[in-house]
Amino acid sequence: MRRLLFLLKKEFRQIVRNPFMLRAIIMVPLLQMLILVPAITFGIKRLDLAVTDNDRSPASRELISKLAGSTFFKTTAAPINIAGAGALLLSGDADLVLIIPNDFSEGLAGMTKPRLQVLVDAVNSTQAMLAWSYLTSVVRDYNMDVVMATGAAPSAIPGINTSPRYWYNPTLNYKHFMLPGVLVILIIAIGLMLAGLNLVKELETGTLEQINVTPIRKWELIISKVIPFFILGLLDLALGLTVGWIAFDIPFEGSILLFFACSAIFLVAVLGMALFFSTLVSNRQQYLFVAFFFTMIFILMSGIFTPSESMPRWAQQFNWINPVAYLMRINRMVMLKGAGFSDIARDMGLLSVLAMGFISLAIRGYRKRA
Amino acid sequence: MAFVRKEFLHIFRDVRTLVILFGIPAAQLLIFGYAVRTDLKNASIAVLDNARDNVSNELINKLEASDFFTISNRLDSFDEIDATFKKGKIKAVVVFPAEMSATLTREGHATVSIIADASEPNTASLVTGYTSGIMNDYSATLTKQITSGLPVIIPDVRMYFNPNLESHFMFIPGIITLVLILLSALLTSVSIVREKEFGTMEVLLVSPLKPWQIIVGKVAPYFFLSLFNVIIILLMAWFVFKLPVRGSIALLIAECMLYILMGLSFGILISTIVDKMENAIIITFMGLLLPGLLLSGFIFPIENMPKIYDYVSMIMPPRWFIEIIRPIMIKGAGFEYVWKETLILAGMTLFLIVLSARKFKVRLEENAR
Amino acid sequence: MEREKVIEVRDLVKRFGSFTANDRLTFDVYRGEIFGFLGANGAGKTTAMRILCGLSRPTSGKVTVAGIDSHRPEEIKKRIGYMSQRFSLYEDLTVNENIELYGGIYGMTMKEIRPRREELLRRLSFTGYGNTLILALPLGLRQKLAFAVALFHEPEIVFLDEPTSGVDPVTRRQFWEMIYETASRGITVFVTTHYMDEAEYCDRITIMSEGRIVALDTPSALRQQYGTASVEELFVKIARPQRINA
Repeated sequence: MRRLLFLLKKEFRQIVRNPFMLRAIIMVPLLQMLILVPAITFGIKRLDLAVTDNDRSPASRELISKLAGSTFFKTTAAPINIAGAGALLLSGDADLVLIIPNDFSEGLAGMTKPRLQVLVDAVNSTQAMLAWSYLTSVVRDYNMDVVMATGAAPSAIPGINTSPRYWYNPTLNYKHFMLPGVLVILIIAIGLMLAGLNLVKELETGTLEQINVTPIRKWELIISKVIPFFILGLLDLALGLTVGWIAFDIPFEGSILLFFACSAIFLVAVLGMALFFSTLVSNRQQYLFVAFFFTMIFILMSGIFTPSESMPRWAQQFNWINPVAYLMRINRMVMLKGAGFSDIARDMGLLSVLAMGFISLAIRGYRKRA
Repeated sequence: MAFVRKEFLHIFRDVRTLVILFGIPAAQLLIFGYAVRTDLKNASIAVLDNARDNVSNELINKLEASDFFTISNRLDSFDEIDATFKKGKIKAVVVFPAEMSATLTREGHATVSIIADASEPNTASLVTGYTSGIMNDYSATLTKQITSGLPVIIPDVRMYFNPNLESHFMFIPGIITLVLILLSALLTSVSIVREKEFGTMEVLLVSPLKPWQIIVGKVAPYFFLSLFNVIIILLMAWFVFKLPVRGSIALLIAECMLYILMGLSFGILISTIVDKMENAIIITFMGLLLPGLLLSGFIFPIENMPKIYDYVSMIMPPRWFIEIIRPIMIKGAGFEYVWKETLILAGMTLFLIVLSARKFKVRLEENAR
Repeated sequence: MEREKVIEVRDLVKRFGSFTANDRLTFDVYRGEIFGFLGANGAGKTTAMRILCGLSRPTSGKVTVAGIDSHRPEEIKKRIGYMSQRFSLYEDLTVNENIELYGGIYGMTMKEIRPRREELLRRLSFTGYGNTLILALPLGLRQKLAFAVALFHEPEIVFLDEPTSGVDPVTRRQFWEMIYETASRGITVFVTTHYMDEAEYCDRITIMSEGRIVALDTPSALRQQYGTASVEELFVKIARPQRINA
C-alpha cells in the first residue's frame, strides 16, 4: 500500500510537468464538444424535387403548388421526358422527379385513372424512403381537396392520419442526441490516448525495465497508472459537460450523481482496456494503431450514430462485451429521459463486470518478465 | 529500382503493418455493410390500442408484418408510456384512438398518434416516417376498395440505383475514401518520420540518390498497396454486398489514383513538418481522417450542419472524392458528370505536391547547412 | 573454500524458438567480488543477466540468487539492485524525487529515506543538485546517480548491464571507483561490459561466445593460461564467433 503511494506521487508529478498532457486535458474536451456536437445531424434536408408537367392544366399546377408549399420539397420545373429525368437523378441535380402525365386532368375528370410517376434517387435509402412517404401524404391531401370539391363527403376517401409526437426532445434537436455520445467519446479519448501511451512510453524509454526488477507487485503498478488518469478523466468529463451546457443549453433530466457514477465505472473499463492494449505492443506507433482499431469498432457498433437495434444479431451480441454500448445507452437515458437507478441498474451492473474484467486482464497481461 | 524493393520488403516483414493494410479495410467494410445501418430493422415498438376493433387490429398486424418493427409490448394506459421509454428498449408507442372503426366510417379519417422517444432523434423520425408510410399504404388500399368511381390519383414510384433500398450502398464509397487516407497519408508520413527518428533518413540523404528518388521510392509501394486495396474493396463490395461498379471501372481507378496521389503528398507534407511519429499520426487524424469521416457526407449529410462546416468541407479533399466516386460506382455516371469535382481534386493534389516538394527541399537545405 | 556463494548457476539454458541464447552455463559468484561478464554483442550476456535478475525465465537449469531459487523471482528482486543498459531514471523527475520513488518502492518510509538521501548526495558530491531534473544533468552524472539509486536499498547483489557505455574516460574512472567502494562494503557487483580495459578491474571474468562460457577465471590467470599480454588480446583470440548469426 505504501509503495502505491510512492508510485502515485511519481505519476502526478510527471503529469503536472508534462505540458502536452495539460494541453490535451484542456483542449480535447473543448474541441470535441464544440466541433463534434454540432456537426453530427441526420435530419433529412429539403429535397430537390423536379417536376415534369406534361399536362399543364390548372389541376396539375394545383398539385405542384401544393408540393412546393410543403416544407419537405424544393421544387423545380423540368420540362423533359423520362430519359431526361434519369439524367437529373444521375447528376444529382434532383433527389426525386415527379412526372405528371398529359392525361392528368382528363383522369381527374373521370375519363381515365390518373397516374403519377415518381422517380427517386435511392442511393441514400433512408432519404428515399422518407421522400416517398412525404410525397404520398401530400398527394393524399390533394386527393382530399379534389374529392371535397366534387361535393362528396370526406368519408368518401377514408384514410388514417398520423400525428407524431416527440418526447424528451420535441424539436428533434440532434445536439441533445449527440452530446451524451460525445461525452462518451471524450472519456475514451482521454483514457485510451493518455493512459495507454503513458505506459508504452515507459516501456520504450526503458524506465519500465527498472521498475520490473523491483519487488513491486503487478497490481500496484497497474493501479498506480489507473488512479491518476481516473481522476483526470472525471475532471475532463466535468469540463466537457460544463462546456456542453454553456454552449448548447442541453437539458439534464436525471441525476448528475448517477451520470458521474456510471461514467466512472466506464472510465475504469476504458483504462483497463488501454493498459491491456499496452501490454500487447512494443511501441507507441503500434499502440496507436491497436487503440484506433478497437476504438473505431467499439464506437461504431455502440449505436452512437445509428440505432443499434437495426444491427444483425451477431452485432447485438457483440455489444454485450462493448462497454461503449452500455454507457451510450445509459447516458442518453439519464441525461435526456431522467431515468433513475432502477432503470439502468442492469446495464450498470454489466458495465461494472466488464470494468473489473478489463482491469484484471491488464494486471494479468502485464509481464514483469520479458 | 532496388530501393523501392527495400520499401516493399519493409512493409511485408512487419506483420502488424500487414494487418493494418488488410484488416482495417475488411473490418470497416463488414461493420458498415452489416452492422451500422442508417435504416431501421426490427425496432421495438409498443402499441396502446384504445380501439380494439377490426381497423386497429388490421393496422397492428400490418406494423408487425413489416420488417421495420417488432411489437414487443402492449400497453393498457397512457401513463405507462414514460416508464416504458425509461427502460430504454421501446423506441415508440403507437396509440390507436377509441372507436377507430366507427370514426373512420363516419368522418372518413381517424388519427393515430405516434409517440416517439426522441432522445434518439434519428430513430424517432425514422419510426414516425415508416409508421406514416404503413398508414398511407393502408389508406391507399382503402381508397382503392371504396372509391373506384371517384377520381383519385395514386402515384407510382420507381427507386433508382438502389431498388432494394440497401443502406450500405451509401457507405462503400465512403469506406474507400477513409481507407485510402489511412493507407496513403498515414502510412507514408509515419514511415518517413520513422526513418527520421532512427536516423536512417540521413544515411539515405548522403547517398547518391536524388531527393525525389528517395521520396518516390518511399511512396511508390504505398501507391500500389492502396490501389490493391481499392480492388479488394471493390471485389468485396461486388461479391459480398452485391454492389457492382455501375460506371466505368477505368474511370473509377483513375480517380482513385488521383486521390491516392493527394494522400501521398499530404503524407509527405506532414513528414516534412513533424519529427515525431505520434505527431504525424495526430496530424493525419485531425487533418484528414476526422474530416473524412465527418465532413465528407460519408454518413452525415453536410447540408444539415451549420454553414461553417459546409465551407470548411469545401477545402477537404475527401468531400470531393466521395462526390466523384459515389455517382460513378452506384449511379453509373460518366466523366461528364464528375469533371468539375475531378478538376477541384486535381487542383488540390497539385497544390499539395508543389507544397510538399518545396518543404522537402527547404529541409534538405537546412540539413546541408 | 570458505567464501560464501551468492549466485549459483548450473546448466542454465535459454532458448528463443530454435535460437539458443544461453547454452549450459555453469558458474558461481562469491560475496563481495566484482564479477565481469564479457562477450561480443549477441553473445548472450544480457540474456543471462536478465534471468539472474528475474526479468526472464530460464528454459532449463538451476539458478539461485542470494540463496533464492529463480522460480521465485519476486523474492530475488527484493535483494538485488539493477542498472540497465538504457538509461532508466525518470528524466522528468528531480534527483530527490527519483531517489524517493525507488526507496519507496523497496518499502522504505520517507523518514528512512530523507537522511540516507542527504548522505548519498554528499557522497556523490551532488549536494545542491537535489531539486534538479534528471533531464538537466550531463550523461556521466546521470549514470553515477543511476548506480547510486540501484544501491539505495542496500541490496546484496547489484547487476550492472554495460554501465559505462557512452561515458567519457574520466567519468568511467570515477564509476569504477564507485564499484570498488561498493564491493568493499560486501556488496557483490555483477557487471557486463565490452570495454576490455574494464575487464582488468574485475576480480574474476567470464568470457561468453555464442551463448557458451569459453573462459572463467581471474584476469591474470587467464592471461597466463592463454599467453596473452592483455585481456583484449585474449578476447580476440578466443571469443571470435565461429559463424555469423543473422
